[in-house]
Amino acid sequence: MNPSFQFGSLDLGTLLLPELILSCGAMLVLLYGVFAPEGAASTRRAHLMAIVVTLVTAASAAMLANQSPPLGAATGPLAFDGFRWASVAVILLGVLGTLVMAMEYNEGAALTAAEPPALVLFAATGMLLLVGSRELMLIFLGIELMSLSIYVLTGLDRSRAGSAEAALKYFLLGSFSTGFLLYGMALVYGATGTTNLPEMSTAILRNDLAADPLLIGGMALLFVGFSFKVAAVPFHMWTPDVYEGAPTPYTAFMAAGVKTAAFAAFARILFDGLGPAYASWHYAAWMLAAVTMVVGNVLALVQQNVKRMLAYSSIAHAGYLLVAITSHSSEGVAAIVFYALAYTLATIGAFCVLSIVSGGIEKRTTLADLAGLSRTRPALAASMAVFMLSLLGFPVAGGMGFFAKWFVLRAAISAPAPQTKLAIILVLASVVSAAYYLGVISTMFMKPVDESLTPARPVAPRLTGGVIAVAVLLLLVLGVYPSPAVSWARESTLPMTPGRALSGPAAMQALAPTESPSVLP
Amino acid sequence: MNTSPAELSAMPGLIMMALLAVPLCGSVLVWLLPRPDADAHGSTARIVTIGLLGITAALATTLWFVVPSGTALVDYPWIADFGARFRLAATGLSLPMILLTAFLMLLSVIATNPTSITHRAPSYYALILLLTAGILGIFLAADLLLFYLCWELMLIPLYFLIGVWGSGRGPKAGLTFVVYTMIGSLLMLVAVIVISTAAGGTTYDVLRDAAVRNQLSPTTQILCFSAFAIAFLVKSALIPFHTWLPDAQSEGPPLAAVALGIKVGTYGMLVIAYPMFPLAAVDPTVRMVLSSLGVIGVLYGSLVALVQPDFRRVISYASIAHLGFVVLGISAFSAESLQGAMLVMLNAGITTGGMFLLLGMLRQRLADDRFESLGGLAKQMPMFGALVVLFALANAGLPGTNGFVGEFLVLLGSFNRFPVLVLLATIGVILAAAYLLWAVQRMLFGPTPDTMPEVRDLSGREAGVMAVFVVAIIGLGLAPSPVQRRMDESISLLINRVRMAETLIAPVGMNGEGTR
Repeated sequence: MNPSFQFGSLDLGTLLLPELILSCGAMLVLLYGVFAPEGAASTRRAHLMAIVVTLVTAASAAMLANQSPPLGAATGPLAFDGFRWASVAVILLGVLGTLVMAMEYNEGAALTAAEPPALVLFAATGMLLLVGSRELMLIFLGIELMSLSIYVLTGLDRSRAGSAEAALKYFLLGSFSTGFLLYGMALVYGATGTTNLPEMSTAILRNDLAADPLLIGGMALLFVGFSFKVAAVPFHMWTPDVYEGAPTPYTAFMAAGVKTAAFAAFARILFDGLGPAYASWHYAAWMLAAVTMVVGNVLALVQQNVKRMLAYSSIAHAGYLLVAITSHSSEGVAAIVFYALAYTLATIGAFCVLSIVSGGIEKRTTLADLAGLSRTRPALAASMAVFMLSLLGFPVAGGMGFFAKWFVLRAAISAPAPQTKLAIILVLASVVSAAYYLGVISTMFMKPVDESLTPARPVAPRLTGGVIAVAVLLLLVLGVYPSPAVSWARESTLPMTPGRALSGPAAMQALAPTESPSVLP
Repeated sequence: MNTSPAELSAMPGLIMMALLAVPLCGSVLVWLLPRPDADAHGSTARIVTIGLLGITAALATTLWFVVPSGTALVDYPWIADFGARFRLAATGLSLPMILLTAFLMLLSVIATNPTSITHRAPSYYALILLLTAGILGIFLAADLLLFYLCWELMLIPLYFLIGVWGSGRGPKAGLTFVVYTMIGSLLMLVAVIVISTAAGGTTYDVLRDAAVRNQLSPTTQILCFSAFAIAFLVKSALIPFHTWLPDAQSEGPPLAAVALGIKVGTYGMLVIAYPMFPLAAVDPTVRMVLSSLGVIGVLYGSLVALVQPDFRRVISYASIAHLGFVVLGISAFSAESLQGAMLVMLNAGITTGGMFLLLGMLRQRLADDRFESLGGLAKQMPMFGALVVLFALANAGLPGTNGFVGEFLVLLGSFNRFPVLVLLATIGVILAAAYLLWAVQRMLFGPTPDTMPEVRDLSGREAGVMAVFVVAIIGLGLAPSPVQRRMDESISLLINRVRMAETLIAPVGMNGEGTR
């Protein structure tokens, strides 16, 4: 590890500025919760504080992103590349949406406390750490900080057995998977002698470790651990129960934020650290992607609860993102960033709609509750239709979702080792997904209101409605003219060691600096 | 297509932009119109929509006359990263289809009884405008990504029109339609990405040159061609991908059936699949498969049409048979057969469109329009009866009507290449006369069942719409040459392009340089 925490012109404090602001802000919100009187007003104020903290963090990250990378940043424990800033932007977008949604949801569900927004900020700190570090130990720290906060958020609604059950399930299985992750990291360290990702790839190339049993064992355990975090089949069993049990805003946070952060870290480890061993992990990623896409979409078909359906759909989306990872190219990196943005917007939007429709009553998130929504709340139904079509990857009406799929497919097909079969599995799985996404639309637009259900408490959507409007607008505008988002995703480069190092001479070629396409200077 | 700057002229370009912009912006406008309770049938929305579609039709007519010959072009940068450009073109192949679309949509809205739209009328009209924009976009696009966007854009309004304003089984028919079409179009998406990454762009000319410049291997060409062909033929409901069509056409509102009768799929075959993958186009196996599917379509469609319970389904299967002729003509790939295929596409749009509107008018008057509960309608509705007979004859391809010219040219142009198949297809022409005349006889003549209520004949509005169709049917039947002249140049360009690629690549092998 770098003995000095000085990177050229920037010290560690500056490099970690967003994380520091977030964690200090989280503690401030906690302190506020101690001294403020209990009640709805202070809950609201705590949420507003958290929103301000998030905005300040975003500003600091934007400021850092515009600086040129400091000397030595290419190998230090903290990354300073476009990929980090892009992931940070997507995560903070998800955090903002969650906080706004939670502010109004918690009032409706009578969850008055200042701690939830603080926990969201802590989780966000973990996520930022996760996407920003190039050091296995820091990545582990980030995962733990994120997961522990989310476990608590899942069980926030103590009056509801489902929430507690979800939290316990998530906690037990999550800890179990963390064990795998840690063991995997230990094995990888044992094989390569380092926890620093760039040093790791150099070690693998230099000592020709790509087929080393210790490294492969470590990678296998890393795959298990990350598959759990991103909810890839067959490590997805927790997802539907936890998504259904958790309070809706935090389900959205899990679906959008956790997935983006875990995927970014996964991609960084695989591309930056384990890139030279591509031949060894490629097949595992391939299989994981294929099975996840198919199983996620098929199981989503039979769900009656929309939160559960979105849980399975989020599993399927993990599969699509795994396709981008399998491509192992800079195109794949851009695809992950672009996809994460489109997916975050659509997911946060869809859960916002659900939180308004259910009015804070968790049982009221079934398909039957959405029946006839187009008559009672046409704008809400139209927005939900846009989100569903976006998740389906439908052009124009689904906006950006189409270009997200396009980007992933492009990454798969233009990869150094083209993944055409995987691309075809992806599109066929998408056809299956059409049935349930359109099922939501047909329920809203083509079925009468279910008179047997007592109408849910009407919630004035106010700010949550604003989030929905912004998400719809961004999705639709970027769906017709995606160039700004495309070039933004393109700038999010990730240092990558080429993965075609299959054997001796190829490995030597890969070592030559001219062969690596997108290494930062 | 040649895109020299000399051909860029402002007038056609503006018209093409307006052809997309008017229905697209109009759709948002109509959706945002105030919805007072007193106006349950959305008469304001209806009037605005008819006005906008009238403008669209006028623009399409103007475009027909101001595009001198060859092509006109609009070209703006769009997504530089994918090599995609916002590029529109009007060619001899697209102009007739643009004209057809604009007029069919306008007439369909006028023909639909305003009181039949009982709920959410503004949304209904907004979706129609969106659908019009989507279909026009398919014909105007000169960039594959833009084409794909419009191709998919067409699905959503149709899904809602069939599901929300269709019969009770509408939602199911709509879903089947979307899922069927998506299987094809997503396979097409993979092919689009494969060829655009190989060629480095998505405009038609870049992609068409890719094959000539040998950027696509023969295997890639055949696989991509197959993906496109599946997408296009599913959308036009060729055997064996046809099962969604009769449901969608008879469960949806008449307007959706008319829109489904516009053959965007076979247009895609001519403009995209053939010129972009010339090696696949001339591959003997591909030819054999396509032409056989076409003839099977003709025979199967005709035979199944014989046993349908109502006239709408008969017409659905008749259009499946028409599609068989189109596919036969395209796969034979001679100048006559291609002309014939284009004419069948055009005329099937007119005759089946008119027929669906007529049958929609009947359904307004009679909830139950199965053959077994009908009879002797000609006595009660003489004008309706006369029109049905005329449309049925045009559908069957009687000389003097528009249906004759296209089918005749297809059979003539394909005979040299597929003599046996052409003979088989001729049986289809005879069968068409049989199923149509039998259907006419059961509906219009014979004893009237006691259960059938009294029905009025067509109103002035309805008759006025139908008069336009009658003029088109007889006009195109007697004098198809203006349309043919329009298409001539584009068709010979298409044939030359495929032949050029064939001679350049097939024997020489690797040498693709210096072709342009």
